[in-house]
Amino acid sequence: MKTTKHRLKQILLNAAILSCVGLYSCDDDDAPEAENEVEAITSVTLTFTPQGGGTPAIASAVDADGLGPGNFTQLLTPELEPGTTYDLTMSLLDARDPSDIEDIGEEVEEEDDEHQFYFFVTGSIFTADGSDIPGTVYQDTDDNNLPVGLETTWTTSASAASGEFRVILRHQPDEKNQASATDRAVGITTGDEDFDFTFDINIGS
Amino acid sequence: MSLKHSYILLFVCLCKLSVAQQYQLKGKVVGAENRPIEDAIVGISGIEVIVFSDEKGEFLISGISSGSYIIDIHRLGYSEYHKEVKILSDTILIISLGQALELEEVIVEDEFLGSEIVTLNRETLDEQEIQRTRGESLANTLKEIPGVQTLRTGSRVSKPVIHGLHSSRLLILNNGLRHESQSWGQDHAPEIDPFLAKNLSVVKGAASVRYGSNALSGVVIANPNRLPFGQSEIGGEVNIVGNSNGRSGSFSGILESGFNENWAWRVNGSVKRGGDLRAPDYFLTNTGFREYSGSAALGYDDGKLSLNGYFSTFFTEVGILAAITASNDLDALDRAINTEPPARTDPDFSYRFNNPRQEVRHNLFKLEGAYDLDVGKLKWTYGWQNNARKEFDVRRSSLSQIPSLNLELSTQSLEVEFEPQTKNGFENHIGISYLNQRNRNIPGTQRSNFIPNFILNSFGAFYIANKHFDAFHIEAGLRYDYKSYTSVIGFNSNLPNNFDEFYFDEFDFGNVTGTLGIGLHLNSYSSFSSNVGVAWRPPNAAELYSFGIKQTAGALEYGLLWGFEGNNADANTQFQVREFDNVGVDNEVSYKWTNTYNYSKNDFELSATAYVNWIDNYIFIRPGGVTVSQRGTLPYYFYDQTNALFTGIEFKTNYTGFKDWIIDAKADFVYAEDITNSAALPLIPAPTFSFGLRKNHEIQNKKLTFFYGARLYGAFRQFEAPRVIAPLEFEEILEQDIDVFSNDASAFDFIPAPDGYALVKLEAGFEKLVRNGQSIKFLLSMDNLFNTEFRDYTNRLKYFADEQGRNISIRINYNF
Repeated sequence: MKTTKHRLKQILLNAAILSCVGLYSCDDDDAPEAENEVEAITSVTLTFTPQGGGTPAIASAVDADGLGPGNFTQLLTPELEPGTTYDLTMSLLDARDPSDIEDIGEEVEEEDDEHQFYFFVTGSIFTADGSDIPGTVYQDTDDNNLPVGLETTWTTSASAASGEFRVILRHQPDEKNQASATDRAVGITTGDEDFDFTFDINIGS
Repeated sequence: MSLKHSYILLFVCLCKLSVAQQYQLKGKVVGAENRPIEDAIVGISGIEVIVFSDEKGEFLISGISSGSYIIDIHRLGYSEYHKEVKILSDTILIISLGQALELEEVIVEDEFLGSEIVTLNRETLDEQEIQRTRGESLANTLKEIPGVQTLRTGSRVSKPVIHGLHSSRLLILNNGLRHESQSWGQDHAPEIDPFLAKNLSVVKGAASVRYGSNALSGVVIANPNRLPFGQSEIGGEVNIVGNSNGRSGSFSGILESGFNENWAWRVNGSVKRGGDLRAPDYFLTNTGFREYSGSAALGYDDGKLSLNGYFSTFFTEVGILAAITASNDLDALDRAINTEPPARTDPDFSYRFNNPRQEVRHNLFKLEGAYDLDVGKLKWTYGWQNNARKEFDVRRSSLSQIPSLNLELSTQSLEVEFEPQTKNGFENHIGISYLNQRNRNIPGTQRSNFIPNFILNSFGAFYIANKHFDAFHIEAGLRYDYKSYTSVIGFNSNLPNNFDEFYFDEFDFGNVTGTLGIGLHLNSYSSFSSNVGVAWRPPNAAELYSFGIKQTAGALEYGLLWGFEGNNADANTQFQVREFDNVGVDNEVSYKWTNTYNYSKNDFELSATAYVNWIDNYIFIRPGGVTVSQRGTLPYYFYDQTNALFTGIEFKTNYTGFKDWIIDAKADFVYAEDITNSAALPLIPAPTFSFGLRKNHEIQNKKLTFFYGARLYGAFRQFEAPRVIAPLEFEEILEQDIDVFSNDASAFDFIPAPDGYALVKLEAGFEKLVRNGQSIKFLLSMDNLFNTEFRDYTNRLKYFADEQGRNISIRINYNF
């Protein structure tokens, strides 16, 4: 009994010491490491280059506060020539940190077998409205020969018009297939939305 | 076992004595098969009264002052029961006696819990309720107690709701320690396995005085059984549970024994695994899970000094319904709501699950002791807890193996309590507690941190006293808590020009809480207690700091400290975390009045609770507006404070007077209102009901009890749900530039509350005594018999999919 009691005392003492040491051991300041948020898109630029040569027209939109309550807003509205065929290239950037701008478009290109852009046109500004996939507009394909949409071609209407051009980027891991690539209605319900914005575009006279 | 007590020779008196009439002890003496034992002799030390158990094995001793008593029970042919029992309120004991040849008795009772608030009712799950919920999650098990509901993310992730409040507004005491885990969201379920914590009870009142902050609506108490001191042989149990829906199974085992007179130990472990659940018409793809838990305990008790060491570990990995991922913008949410079967539903069953999923680990170590000084009892508890949570979202494939949330919360606590000896019916205790907590973001998520790193130090001191008079007792208590957040460090990841700029803050909270209660012993079969309690909690880290898209909710959320510097909403670029002292966030303070009535006479029992809970500075998410984000139109919410009222009533009753049938019924109802905006609060559980019938057949010579029963249960529609704004209406709201929230800041939902439902459950089983003290219990049940399609208002997946359909389950319990 004596040894038991002795042992118990030992346990108690140890416990007390452990409690005290333990309770105060954590008080060191510790800052989290900065996370490189890789999924934000804060700046999108559409560059319309006339196929016959000429000055490119630019549409751009930015979201200055990222996921804050401020809107994604269009900064530049392009003025396109009527009856002209344009090559459209897109730049998608995460520009929240000006000293370290991330090119999201590059990442999309790297994983192009699970991404696709979809386009919607209102106001008859283009002869194609983006629904005739992959026919006329898509100029690039992924490893599976399915369209991507980073490079597209658009022919403007013959007369002056103004309308809306909606660009949607979907992330479709393991889900991008012939159906989603060729049927826009299927495509925009497949996978997750990475980007969705509607640009204003004018066709001059 | 010797007949060492002489009370049998003293008094045989069935009438209650006219001494100070305070509490009653009600008990039921049963054999190993839960068969009632008639004519057992029941004695209690200090009170010279002996009663016999009736044909149902039940006995009642009234007029007991609070304190510790030795209860002795004898019955020829059975082993003797001799145990110390603490009586602080009307107490119910179920005492199971072994056959005379057996050496040990099984006692259904808690590990010694410490002083409670005696005028708050504590409701404990009974043996039957535990049996029929074996293998379920903690919240689903607790749901058996009236007044307790669940808030769920699918069927695998559920958390308890008491009287309409959940998460930070109720307290879970796991093994006597405040369960400290990441419980910021609706999908953060408590990391406790009911296989380990077999005694589950709920205190439904503002119990901050005793337990500290957060106990606004109540306290969940999860404890293992008392260690088997004095038991010389190794005993234990094995549980096997199988479910047809989800093809899940679980296995758990316990081994325990006493040794060297004053020592005892116990180890246990449990494994669970399941695959995709099935709604009546389709599989709920990606709802598989894995769970492992285990514990080890060692205790010493010589009557004067007791010491107890305990370690437990819990790990779970659970998939979240795949359809939820197709909803991170409003168009998709609209489609998801209207798609049947839900998106990403696989036609085949699978045990595999992928993102979105959670991986959570919780370790707990406890060292507690009690020492009986001559003037009173001194108790102390040291606890260490470590909670690690990883959440994996659907992201670009290169990121899918990287958690988008990776947090670790470490907590240490120390509580010391002194309880002077009871004198003249006056009882009091005093205690102090200290808690140190640290939250850490594990780097590498490549996602802005959901909450910052912080260190929290918390200190509390309380005093509770109660005085007993002839027909009633009164109780009063006071407590002070102080909480100090130091080194709150996070990133203002939103500032465009200062991308990796830190915010750093320090702030503290203090609060005085109190309780005042009265217990009335109305007569020998009924009692009433009434308690007014103040409880509080400071805003938690998520409410202060959370930022950004809430995956799966189709919305953006900003914590209380997010805003425009100088409150200038035009300066978009200055949307950032502000200093705590510049914002003015108040403690949430709850004033809760809880009333409980208990009636128990012959074969009828009733217990009813009614309450009113007023909460000052109730934190909720207020819709703030609509924004065009990179993913299209999204509504956004600000955390904000309002005043809220919660009131409700619930009851539970059972009747055993109709032949061998046991008839039970229970129901509950909660009403909640956002007083400032005079509107409904979101996610308040709808009224529920449950009505059951069960018949027992005893075959004496075969030592077999056979039973079968049916249950009708369900919920009404929640008619007090917030207004509805369908996802596509937001496009319109934005286009027409209507500010729907400036005039009405009340909450909204994307869909109306689902309809009510009623389900039928059948069950049958038997209990058989195999050999000395060994028994087998077998239970077969069929849930949702008619494969009814239904959705539950407090399930976050109600937008996407039906609840699970029919389920057949088998539960086998072997006790040795």
